[in-house]
Order: sequence, then C-alpha cells, then structure tokens
Amino acid sequence: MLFKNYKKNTKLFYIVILFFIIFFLNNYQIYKKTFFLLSRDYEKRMVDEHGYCSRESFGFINYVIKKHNLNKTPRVINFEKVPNNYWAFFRFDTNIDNNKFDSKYLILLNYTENPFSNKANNKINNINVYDYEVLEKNKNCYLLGVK
Amino acid sequence: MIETSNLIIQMLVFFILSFFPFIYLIKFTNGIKDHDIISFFGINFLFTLNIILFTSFINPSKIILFTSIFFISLISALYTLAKKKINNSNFLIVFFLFLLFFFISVDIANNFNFSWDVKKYYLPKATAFFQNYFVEDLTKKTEYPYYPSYLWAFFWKNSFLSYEYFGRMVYGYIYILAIFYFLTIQNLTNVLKIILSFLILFISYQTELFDGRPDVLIFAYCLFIAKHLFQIFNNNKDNFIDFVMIILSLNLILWTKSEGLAYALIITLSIIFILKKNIKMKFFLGFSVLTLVLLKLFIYNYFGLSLNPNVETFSFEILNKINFNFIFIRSYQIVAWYLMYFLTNPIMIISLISFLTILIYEKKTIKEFNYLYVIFILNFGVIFLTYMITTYPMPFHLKYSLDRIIFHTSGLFLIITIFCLNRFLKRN
Repeated sequence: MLFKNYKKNTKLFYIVILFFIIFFLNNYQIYKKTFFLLSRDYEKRMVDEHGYCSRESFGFINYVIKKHNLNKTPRVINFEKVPNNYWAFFRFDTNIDNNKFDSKYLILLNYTENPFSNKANNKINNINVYDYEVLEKNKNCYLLGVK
Repeated sequence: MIETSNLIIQMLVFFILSFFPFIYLIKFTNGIKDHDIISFFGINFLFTLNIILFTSFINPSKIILFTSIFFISLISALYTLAKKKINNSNFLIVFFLFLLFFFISVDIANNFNFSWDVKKYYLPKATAFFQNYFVEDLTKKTEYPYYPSYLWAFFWKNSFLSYEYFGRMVYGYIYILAIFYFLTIQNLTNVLKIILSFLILFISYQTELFDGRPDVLIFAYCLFIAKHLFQIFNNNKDNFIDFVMIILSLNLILWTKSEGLAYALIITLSIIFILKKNIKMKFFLGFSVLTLVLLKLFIYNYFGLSLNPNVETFSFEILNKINFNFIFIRSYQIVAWYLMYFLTNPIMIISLISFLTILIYEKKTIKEFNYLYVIFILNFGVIFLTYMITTYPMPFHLKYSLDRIIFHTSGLFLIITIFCLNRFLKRN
C-alpha cells in the first residue's frame, strides 16, 4: 500500500523520514554526542577515550608536554599493550622511528610498581631509572627527568 | 559552543568547495538549463579532490592551495546561486544532505577510538603532512598510498581550531555525498531519494569507519562510479561526463589504498570488454587509466617508494611453501571466510536478494548487468590470489581484513537494488 501511487503518498513518506531520523539519532547516540560536543572540550573527550593515566594516558602525556614544554619527544614506555603511544604527541618526529629520543626525559605509563623500589634490578627496558628523578607523578604514570 | 560553531563552519566549507566550477569547464549539460544540485556537488567535489591530489605531488603550502580553491569555489557559488543555475526543487535534498552530514560530523567529533593501523600508520602520516613534511620524510608503510592521510591533514590544517577530527570530516562528507550522488541514478522523487539515502546509511554506516582508515573512501568512490556505470550500461547514456567521472573516481581509488590498482584495472577492463559500442570512449577510458597508473608508478619511483603493495605481506619466500596441501587448505579458508563475510555484509545480501528477484521475475533483463558479474568474478579472483600468497598467518589475515575488502566494492552492487526498486515502483 505504501508504494501504491507512491508519488501521492508524500505525507506518509515524511512520517517514515521522521522515524528514520529518530532511529539514526538514537542508534548512534547523536543526542548524547551533541551534548558532549557542547559541554566537553576536545581534550576532555580525548581523555575520556584514551584515559588520563590508563590505556594510552593521553591526558598525562598532554599535561606533561604543556607543563614541561617538551619540544623533543622523550621515550615512552607503556606497560599496557598499545600499538604506538607516540601518536598522542601529535608530532611527527623521524627520530621516533630511529629510536632516538630526548634522553633528558622518560615517560612511564601504567607502571604498577614504584620505579625506584627494586634496587637490585634498577633497569626498566634497559634504562637505568636511578639516573632519573620523578618530575611528575599521577597514579601509575611518571615523568622522569635526568638528575 | 565554539567547537560546534567551527564544526558547522567546516561543514559549510565542504559545501562551498562543492561549487568549484568544474561543471562549467566541461559544459556537459549543454542545452539543459537546470543542473541537478547533487550531481553538481558530486562532480565538482570529486574534481576538487583530484586537484588536491595532483598538486600534492609538489607538496604545496596547504593554506595557499586551500585559499585559492576556496575563493574560486566561493565566486562560483555566488555566480551559480545568482544566475539560478541549479534546480530549486532539489533544496530539500540539500537540506537532508546537510542534516545527515551534521549527524555524521558530530559522530566523528566524538570518535577518537583509533584502530591499530590508524595509530601506527595513518595518524602519524597525517601528523607529518600537517607539519608540512612529505612522503620522502616518512619511514613506516611508505608503500601505502599517502593520499587519505594527506587529505586528512589538508582539512585539519585548514580549520580554525586545528583539531585533527576536522580533517576526518572530509571522509564523512565524501561518504554522504556519494550516497546522495548515487541516488540520482534514477528519476526518483526527492522524498524517496531521502528515504533510500537513510536506508543505505543504515546498512553501511559504522562510527569506526571514520577513524582515519581509508576503506570508507573506496566505498564512496565506488558509489560515484556505480552511478555512471548504470548510465552507460543500463540507461545507454554514455556521455563524455560518465567516462570522465569514472576516470576521476578511479584515480582517487588508485591513490587511496594499495588494492586500488586492482579495482581500477578490474572496473576498466569490465567496461572495455562488456561495452559493445563507443570505441572512442573505450579507448579514452583505457588510455586515461593506463596514464594514471603510469603516473602513480612514476611518482612512486621518483620518491623511492616500494611498488610492493604491502612489504610485510608479500614476498617471494611464500613460493617455497606452496604445495598441494598448502593450496587446498588456503583455498578452503579463503572460500569459507569469503562466504561468511559476504553473508554478513548487508549491502551484499540486499544486492543478492535483488539479483534473485530480477532472475525470477525479469529474466530477460539479467543480461544488462553482465559488467557487474565480470567485476564480481575478477574481484573474487584478485582476493583469492592475494590471500593465497600472503605471508601473514592465516586465517588471521582473512579474519581482520576480508570484511573491509568486501565492503570496498559493495556499493557497485547496489545498482541491482535500485534497478529492482525502480521496476517495482513502475509496476505500482
């Protein structure tokens, strides 16, 4: 019936369109996302997705970049399995692919132990943590700086 | 609020760029006073994308290039609207194009769940292009076509707030424009076009498609091509513009994913072999696509990029492993996974149902889609061969990529659905 003389049934089609709009908004949570877009800034939404000090710790990385003005990319060791944490810097640096990092700093993410607790084994990923001091700490995330 | 207003400004930018006066350059509508606004947008925007691609070879200042294109488009928009060159009856369609693009943009603005490949390759590449580096500076996966990341960076750079997702919004625009453009295929009423665009959206839209992976772009370009394949083979309207649009879309496909080369050759060969008339246009198509492929090879050679579509996946070492058992197991895996992903792809299911409907009720017209069968068979052949020689572990490689490969060209098969629907409406 809907398609019988469909060119004349425009009112019915408009109702169908309205139903589709509501379905789309509901199915993809567009209401909620519009609210987030209006109420939360970009960084907050990124932190919601990638964690402040969990997962890729976007919030912590972003915070230390700004506070310590990290112009060069330091080594980042994330103890959670992630493909590549360096995207969070939003900075292209050929040194990253060549494993050349700013040796003045070291970022440890999701490191559940105290980096300085084990004096017998003072190396994390072949880096002697006793060469560093803690500059920033938030839960299990550390920014270490050379002493 | 600032972010939302910038999001709307960015949306308007895409609409203004859709007025780039390509349509006036080729004057394809000689004798027709009104342009269909969606065709107008689609043709112009596809051309704009090609301009961005060709100029990218010299890595120009993105801001200067954008400003130039934007002002030309703005003048063209003012001229078009002042002279009423476009059909006013289609403004309802434009409203829904804008509305759906707004919904998609909001979704993109909240989608930061980047997939593995995006974090490893596509986002770092886009970041490099954003900082005005170019392909010779890249070190990882340089063999992957750079254009999707370049496009991302181009619109990221040319946004007021410079948030990366403003660049990804272009993926959303190409996608939604392609759906509306595809639906100009038949003389349907505006309301029906809107309903169908929603239906295509429901069966193809996923938030994660817009995380920066280029798969959705291939799908969209295939929808652009689908309209013109329909015009050539089913409506017997082989205008110059149909071939030009296929060539422009194939060029973008070539530079979007490594598989693009296979798609470009498959579609070109199917047109050349199945189209019985218009030898001049067939020659024009074949010559143009060959030139574009050679241009890509030249650019790759110039920048010292590997011509191997995926260095990690393909190597001659696999030849040592090939024996009867290997071929049998792999063939079984490929066919089984193909069937599984084919039957879980809503577009393919709907197209298959439409095909069966035509087969039952209009057997005579089934031959009109010979080009689609050729595309389907060649496509399957390439998929089969690719997975047969992959060095990645199986079925891991199939499991995490075959669904996307099927999705790429699925838009082409929607032609059958639209044809079937049109016949159904005519009967009523």
